[in-house]
Amino acid sequence: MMRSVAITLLFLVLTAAHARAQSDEPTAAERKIIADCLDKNGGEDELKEMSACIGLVADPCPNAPGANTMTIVFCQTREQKIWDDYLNDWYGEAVKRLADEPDAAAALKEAQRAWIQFRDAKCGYWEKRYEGGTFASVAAGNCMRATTGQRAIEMRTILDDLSH
Amino acid sequence: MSLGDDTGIDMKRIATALGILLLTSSPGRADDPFEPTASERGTIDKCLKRTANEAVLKQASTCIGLISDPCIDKDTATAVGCQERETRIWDDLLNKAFQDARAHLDSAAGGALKDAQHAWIAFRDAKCAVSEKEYEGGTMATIMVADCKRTETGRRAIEMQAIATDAEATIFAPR
Repeated sequence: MMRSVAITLLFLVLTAAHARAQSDEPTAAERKIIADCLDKNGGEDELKEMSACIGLVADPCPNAPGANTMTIVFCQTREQKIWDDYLNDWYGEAVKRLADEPDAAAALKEAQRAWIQFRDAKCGYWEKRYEGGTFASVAAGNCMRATTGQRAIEMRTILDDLSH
Repeated sequence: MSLGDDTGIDMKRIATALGILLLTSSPGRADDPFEPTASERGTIDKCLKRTANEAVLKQASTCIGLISDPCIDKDTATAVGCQERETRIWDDLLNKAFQDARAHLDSAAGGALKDAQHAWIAFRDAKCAVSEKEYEGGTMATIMVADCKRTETGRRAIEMQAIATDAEATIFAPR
């Protein structure tokens, strides 16, 4: 009896872990991986920081056991969400700091609007390039993740610049 | 970046053409401080070849800045000249990669790539205008805008080279 309970529990735990791995919500551990990298590389040149911190969650996914298109796309989405949260926080903070400079604040808002259009057009290309294939979602997901990460780090550079 | 559908007269092109005419009579690039030297083009080219198999972001962090970074503590005119020359190198590479990619894509993907480039130009200009507003009135604004255009053009050139390589790959040939 105890044994079958243990097996059932083990099964439940494994199912939960499995569900977690297939989710498109970032885990606390995944958020921490990115946060630690940003702390470690703070003050580094923007491009160096990008090459060190972008991809930490998604890059290992194609080699994970049982990886398939869906798990890879979920990994991409989870990392994208982490960067998108940073981007929103840092953008909001930068706009706040520009309260006394309406021209610069307006320029930043305009740049963000232009970035969203560029991101969609840039990643939309991959949908067309691989239209009809499962690879389209992987390529487009990869593009959304990397592009959001780049813009998040750029936004932090803008914010750091405003804080001096 | 030119998308091949510009009908207006490009003053920069004319200036470059004049520069070429001048160069035929006098050696060196002395007449156009914004024209990259052959050795500067070679520096970027060698870096791209050396890092060819690295991810786009790693390649960008290694190869962007090779011409302008050594000029960072020079006077404004020199620093801006270095920025501009590096921007031209990346812009030429971007144009070439864009044409290479287009040559291998079907009309749907080719159209999407052209749309992406239009959106990129708008984003580049809007992004670099933030530096202009932030440092309005100062010489720093000139440097920061030139820095922004150089980095952004370099990054897009490296992305476009990856797009061209993918477009040329027969394994995922377009329908």
